[in-house]
Amino acid sequence: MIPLWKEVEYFKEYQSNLSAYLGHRRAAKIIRESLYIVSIGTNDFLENYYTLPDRRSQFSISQYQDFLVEIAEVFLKDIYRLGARKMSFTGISPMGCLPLERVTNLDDPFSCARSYNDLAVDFNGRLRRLVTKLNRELTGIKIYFANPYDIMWDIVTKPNLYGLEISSSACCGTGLFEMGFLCGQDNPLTCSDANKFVFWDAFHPTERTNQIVSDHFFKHLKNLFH
Amino acid sequence: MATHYLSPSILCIILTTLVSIAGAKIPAIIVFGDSSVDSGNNNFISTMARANFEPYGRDFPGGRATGRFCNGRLSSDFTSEAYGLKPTVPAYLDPSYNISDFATGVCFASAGTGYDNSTADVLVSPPFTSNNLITAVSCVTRNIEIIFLFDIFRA
Repeated sequence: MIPLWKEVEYFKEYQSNLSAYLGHRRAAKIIRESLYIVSIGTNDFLENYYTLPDRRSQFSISQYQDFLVEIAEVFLKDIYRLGARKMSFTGISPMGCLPLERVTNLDDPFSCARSYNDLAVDFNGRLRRLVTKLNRELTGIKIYFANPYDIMWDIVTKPNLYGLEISSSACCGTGLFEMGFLCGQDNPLTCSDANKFVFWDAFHPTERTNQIVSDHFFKHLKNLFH
Repeated sequence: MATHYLSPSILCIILTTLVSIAGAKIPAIIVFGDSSVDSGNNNFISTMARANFEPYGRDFPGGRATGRFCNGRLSSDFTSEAYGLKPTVPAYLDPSYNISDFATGVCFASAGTGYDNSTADVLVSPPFTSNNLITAVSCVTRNIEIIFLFDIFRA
């Protein structure tokens, strides 16, 4: 996996390659005028904090969120210093409704794991405050906080409104736990029409859902950045 | 006396230029993040978090499994297209692209990563190829737990 700091290192390398290719002025203009999409955070909670013991022994969940928000701030300031100005900064979706988290929800099997959804709401609130602060602090920056929570909640709870049918399980395999290599096995249970599903594998939306969410944000993005 | 007028062809060129300037305000989409927006970087690093095989990508143009954790395109791809840029944002580590491709869009995202550096270590190595055996075993264990739970629910 590429840690986030390494993604920034690649961005620096990209900038020098772009300068060599287009000349410094044209490259700088692209860096300044581009739209930066940032979408990250779910794994910190689901794959790290609640799966491995280390972070849980070091931080309460509230402290861990503060820790992540600090890293987010450093990251956004880093790419700002490197020239980024227009950003679409994505929050966390109702991750308790991911099929994998429904299956492992022992309190109420197959229902959305409420504690994870509440955590997503809490964390999104903290990210929103960070965005408000940075929009005030950093000259010339414009960060749009793309909060996927409400739209994803709407899609999961009312898939029919979006032309979808199934949101509690995913298309791949049984739809309950498969992702990555487990999804790769030739599985006769894999659905034939992914366009009926909200989720493609137990952790990721289908293309159709991605399009609905992207269209939803683009209505705002096109007015802010054009 | 010279007559000043705009011929239809000149008018057309001016209009086309104006439209292309207006449409070129967002020159590129630059993406950071995790599997929600990784367009294939993980194919080129040592990791268990892969999606470059069937049935991933079966609804992607050409039915290609690009490494996207999806049957088709990601929201960042759709945003790029909505801005009149490429319909897909190329992965920075993919050697089949070069800087001319990346000049209108580039993706640095990596499936499985997070804000926290330690999150990026969770699924680093394929099993048995390095000293990350413990990570591999804990990953397998989690999957077995999940399968076990699934069997209980079905029973």
